[in-house]
Amino acid sequence: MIKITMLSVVAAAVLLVGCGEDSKKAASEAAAKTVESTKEAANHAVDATKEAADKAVVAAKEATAKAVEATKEATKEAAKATKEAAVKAVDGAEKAVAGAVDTVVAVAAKEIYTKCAGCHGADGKTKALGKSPEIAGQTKDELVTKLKGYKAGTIDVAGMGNLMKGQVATMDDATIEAVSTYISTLK
Amino acid sequence: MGMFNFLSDAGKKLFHHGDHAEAIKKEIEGSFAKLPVAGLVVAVDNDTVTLAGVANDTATREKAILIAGNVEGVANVNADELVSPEIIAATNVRDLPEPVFYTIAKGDTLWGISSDFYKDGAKYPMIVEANLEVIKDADKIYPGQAIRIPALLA
Repeated sequence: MIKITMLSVVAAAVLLVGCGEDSKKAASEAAAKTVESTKEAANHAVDATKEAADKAVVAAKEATAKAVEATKEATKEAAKATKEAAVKAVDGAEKAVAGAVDTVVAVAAKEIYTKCAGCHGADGKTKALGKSPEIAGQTKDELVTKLKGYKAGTIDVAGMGNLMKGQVATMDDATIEAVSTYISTLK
Repeated sequence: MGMFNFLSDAGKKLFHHGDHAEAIKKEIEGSFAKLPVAGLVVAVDNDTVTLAGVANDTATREKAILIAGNVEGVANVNADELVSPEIIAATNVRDLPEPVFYTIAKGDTLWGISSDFYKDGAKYPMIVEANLEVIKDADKIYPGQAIRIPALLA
């Protein structure tokens, strides 16, 4: 009876051992598999990472390109807008300068006329020294012709040619034009 | 207004050479501290000088006429076109008092002239004052020189 028991123990032990060997193998297989799958997974992960990185790079490139494009476009727009604004500003400035020049000329002409006003009246309606015709109501062209005639000594109205010559002597053509324009506006 | 007569053989010798009209213009403008006549025009025709322009006032106008007339060789000064604010403002030019000019004779003194016109020789500085730019130096009046005799202020 003991023998049988011993035998069965041995058998069991063998079995156990056998079984242990099996499980060892299985374990190592499993380990191998695990390693394999881990490797694979790692590989996958690496691949995925690579891919993701590639994708990211592409996306970044695209984004950058888009941004560059957008910037370019925006710059173009800004440049265009700036150009337009500048053109408008220059235009405005030119108009302002032209207007200012007109104003200055008008003011200067009025200032020059104060000398004439002594005899011809502030409104140009005084017969200077009781002799001259009224200068208000005459056209600019008439006035320019007369003033230039006085300056050249070729006109003598009411015996006052010398007097007028002296008054016009220092006026250049532009001044004669300006003051004539002013007188022609007197009403 | 009008024509003024002077002794042509007395006065400052300006008519030696060059432009007589320019010489008289310079003499008039150079006698005053500031420009006496706006747009002064001087024309010379033999012994007649024509003056034109707008004088600063009537006294200045008269002085300008005297300075031109006191040039040797000038017998007449036409001042029809030499005006002043008073003349411009006058509605009738004939209402304005005619200037009183006197031609200095040999032996005259400023005291004597003052006695004749003002009945008071001591008022002679008034005459000097009224002719400042014409006489220039009270010790150097000369026979034939024309001066203005201003009206006494009441």
